[in-house]
Amino acid sequence: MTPSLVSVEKVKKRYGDLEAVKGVSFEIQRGEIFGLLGSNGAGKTTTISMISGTLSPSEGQVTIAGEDVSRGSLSVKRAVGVTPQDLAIYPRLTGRENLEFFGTLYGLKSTKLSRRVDEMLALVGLTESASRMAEEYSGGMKRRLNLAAGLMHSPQILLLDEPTVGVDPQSRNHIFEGVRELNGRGLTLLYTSHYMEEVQALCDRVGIMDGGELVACDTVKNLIAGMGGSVIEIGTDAPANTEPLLQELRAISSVQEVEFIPIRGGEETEKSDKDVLFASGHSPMFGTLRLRAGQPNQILAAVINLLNRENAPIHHLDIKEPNLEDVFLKLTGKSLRD
Amino acid sequence: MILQIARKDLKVILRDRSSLIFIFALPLVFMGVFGAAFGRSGENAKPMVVSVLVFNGDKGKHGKELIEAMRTVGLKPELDTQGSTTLTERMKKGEKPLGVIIPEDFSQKLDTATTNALDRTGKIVEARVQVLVDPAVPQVAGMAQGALSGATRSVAGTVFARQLEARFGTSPASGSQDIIALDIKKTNEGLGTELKKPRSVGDTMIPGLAVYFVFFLANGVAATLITEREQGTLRRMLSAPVSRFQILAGKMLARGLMGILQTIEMFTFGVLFMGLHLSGSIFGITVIALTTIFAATTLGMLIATMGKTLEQIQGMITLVMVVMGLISGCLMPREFLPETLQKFSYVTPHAWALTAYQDILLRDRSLLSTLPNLMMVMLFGTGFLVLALRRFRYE
Ligand SMILES: Nc1ncnc2c1ncn2[C@@H]1O[C@H](COP(=O)(O)OP(=O)(O)OP(=O)(O)O)[C@@H](O)[C@H]1O
Ligand SMILES: [Mg+2]
Repeated sequence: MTPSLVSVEKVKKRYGDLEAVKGVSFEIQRGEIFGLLGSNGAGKTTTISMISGTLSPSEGQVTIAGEDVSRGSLSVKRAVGVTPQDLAIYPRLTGRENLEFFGTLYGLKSTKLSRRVDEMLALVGLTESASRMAEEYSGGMKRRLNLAAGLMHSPQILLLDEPTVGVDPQSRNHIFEGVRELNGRGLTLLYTSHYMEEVQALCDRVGIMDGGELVACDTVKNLIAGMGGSVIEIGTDAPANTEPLLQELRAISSVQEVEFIPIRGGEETEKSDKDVLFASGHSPMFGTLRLRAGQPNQILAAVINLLNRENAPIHHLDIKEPNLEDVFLKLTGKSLRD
Repeated sequence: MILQIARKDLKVILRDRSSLIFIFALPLVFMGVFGAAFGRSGENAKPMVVSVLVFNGDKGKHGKELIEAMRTVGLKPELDTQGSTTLTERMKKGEKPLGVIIPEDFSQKLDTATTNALDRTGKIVEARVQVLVDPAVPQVAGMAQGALSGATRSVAGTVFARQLEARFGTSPASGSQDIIALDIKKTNEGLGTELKKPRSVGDTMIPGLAVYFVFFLANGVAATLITEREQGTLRRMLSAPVSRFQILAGKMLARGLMGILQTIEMFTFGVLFMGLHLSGSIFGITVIALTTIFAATTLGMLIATMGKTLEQIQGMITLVMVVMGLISGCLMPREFLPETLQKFSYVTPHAWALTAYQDILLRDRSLLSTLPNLMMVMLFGTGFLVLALRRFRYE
C-alpha cells in the first residue's frame, strides 16, 4: 500500500469549553478527491485549518507526506494550497495582482510567475477580468479568484472549503471543471460542500462529520451500498390495521425495511382522496408505503399483488436510488442544507 | 519577500484615496491654517505659568526676593543648585524656555545702586541678572521675559522703598525703578553658528507638526493589520512560506515610506511657504525622521492588538493621537497647557522626537548631543514592538 498523503490522527480542537473537533482520524490518498460533509458547525473548517497548519490541534497530529504539520516546515507549506471558506483576496488589487502577489510569496518570479498567473486565470475563467479590481467582481468571480490563489504555487494537495457557496451555476461549473481538470493532472483534493450532488459526483471517498466527530468515512459507493438498496415508495390507502400487511411485505425476500407513513391532510393528498377519507371516516388510511430492497424489480410484482388482494389502490409509485443525502440523513438525522 | 509585501501594501495604500488625503493633504491644511493663525503675533490671552530655571548665586537676600517676585508674575522658578554652568547646559538642551542666573553680588550691587540713586551721586551702578532664552520656543520665552522684567522692577521698587522708609519714614507712591539690568542671551549663541536668523512661524511649527502627523502612520499600520486579518489574507500569507516578522517588516516598510514622503512634503512646504530654515544637517533631520517613523509604525502594531475590528480601534486611535499631539507640545508649546498636563508631556514619544528636531533645527545643536532624545524615541518604539509582537493575534 502506498503511504497516504495526508494523515489525520486523533485530532481534537477545543475553543475554550467547546470541543469543536472531538478526536477525528482519516487519511487522504495521493491523487484522490476526498469529500468532507457536515452540517453547519460540524467542524469541517476547523479540521481543514488544522491540516493547513493555520490552527494547531489541541490533541493529536496531522502529517502531510510524513511530516508533522504543526512544525510549519517549508516543505509542508509548499505542499498545501488553501481555498478558504471566507474569501482571502485583496479587494483593492486586480485579479492579476492578487495572483502575482500570492505567487511571489512562494518565490515565483518574472516569466515563470506571469505564465503561472495566466494559466490559473484561464483555469478559473477570469482571463478577461484579470485587470479589474477584485472588489468589482461578482461573488462567483471572487470565489474563482480565491480558488486560483490557492493554486498559484502548484501544491500537492488543495484544501477547498465550500468553494461553491453562493455561486451561480456558471461559476459553479467553472470551479467544478477546474477541480476535475486539476485532479486529472494529479492534484489531490479535499473538498467540503453543502451540495451533495457535487460531492457525490466528484469525490472518491467521503468523510461525514457530525458534532465534531467523524461518523463515517468510506467510498461514496460503499456508503450508498451500506444504505441497502433502493427505496420503493407507494402512495396508497392501507387498511385500518396495517400491521398484518406489513408483516407479509417483510416476508418477501430481499426486502430489508418496510414502513407505512400515514399522511393526514398532507401536501401529497389529492382532493378526492381527502374527501373519501373524511366522508367515510373509517378504515382505509391514506399514506406512503416505503420499502427498501436490494433488487426492486424482482419484488415489485409481489408487492402489487399483495396490495391488490387488500383492495388498496395505488395512487403513485416511485423507485428511488439512495444517494449521499440519504446516507447523511440516516447517519446524522439531519438534512444537510439549512 | 519583505519588499514584495511592502510593494503590495503600497499599491493598496495608493488606491485608498481617503488615506492619501489623510497622509498628504491634511498636514498641508494644518500648516496653512496654523501658519495663518499664529503667524502674525504671539498674542495669547490665556494666563499661563512658565517654568524658569534659576540659579541663585546671590550672597544677600535680594536674590531670594527676586525669586519670590517671579512667582507673583506667573513664572514658576525651579531652583538649580548645581551652579551656573550646569544651568547653562540644561538650558542648551531646551529643558526650559527661560533660565535666570542671579550673580553673587546681586544684593550688594542692588543696594549700592539704590543708595546711589537716593544720594543722587550720579554714579551709575547696575545690578545684573543673566537671562538665557531657548530659541526653540520664542513665543513662550518672550512672554516669560516680559514677566521677568516685571519681577525685577518690583524687587527694585521694594528695595528702593525700604531705603526711603529707613531714611525718611515714608513710603513712595511709585515703586518702579529700572535699576536691575537683564543680560539676555540666547542659548544657542556662541556655538559657532552665529548667524542671527530670526525665527519664523515655520521654524517653530513645522517640527511639531512633522512629529504629530508622522505618528498618524500608526493609524494606517493598525488598520492594515486588522483588515488583513479580517479579510483572511493574513492567514493566507501565513500559510505561505513567509514569517510573521517578514509580514510585519513589509508593512512597516510600506508605511515608513509613506512617512518619509510625508516628512519631505511637510519640510518642503515649510521651506517654501513658511520661512523654515533648514539649518543643521539634513542627515540629522533624516535620522530623527526615521526614528520617529519607527516609533509611529510600531505604535500602530501595538494599537492593532487592542481590538478585533477596525471600528473598535478607529475612534480610539484618533483620540489618542490628538491627545498625545496636544500634551507633547507638537501642536502648541507645552507651556500653554495647564500644569498638570505638562507633567505628562514626556510620557509621549512625540515629546522626545520634538525635542530632537528642535535641538537640530532651532538650538543649533549637533545630532550627537541630541542622541539621548533619539534613544528615548527608539526605546518607545522598541517597547511598542515587543508588546505588539507578544500580544498580536494572527487569527
Ligand atoms: N475561532 C473560534 N472560536 C470559538 N469557536 C469556534 C471558532 N471557530 C469555530 N468555532 C466553533 O467550532 C464549531 C465548528 O466550527 P467550524 O467552522 O469548523 O464548522 P463547519 O463545519 O466549517 O461549519 P460551516 O458549514 O458552517 O462552515 C462551531 O460550533 C463553531 O461555533
Ligand atoms: Mg466551515
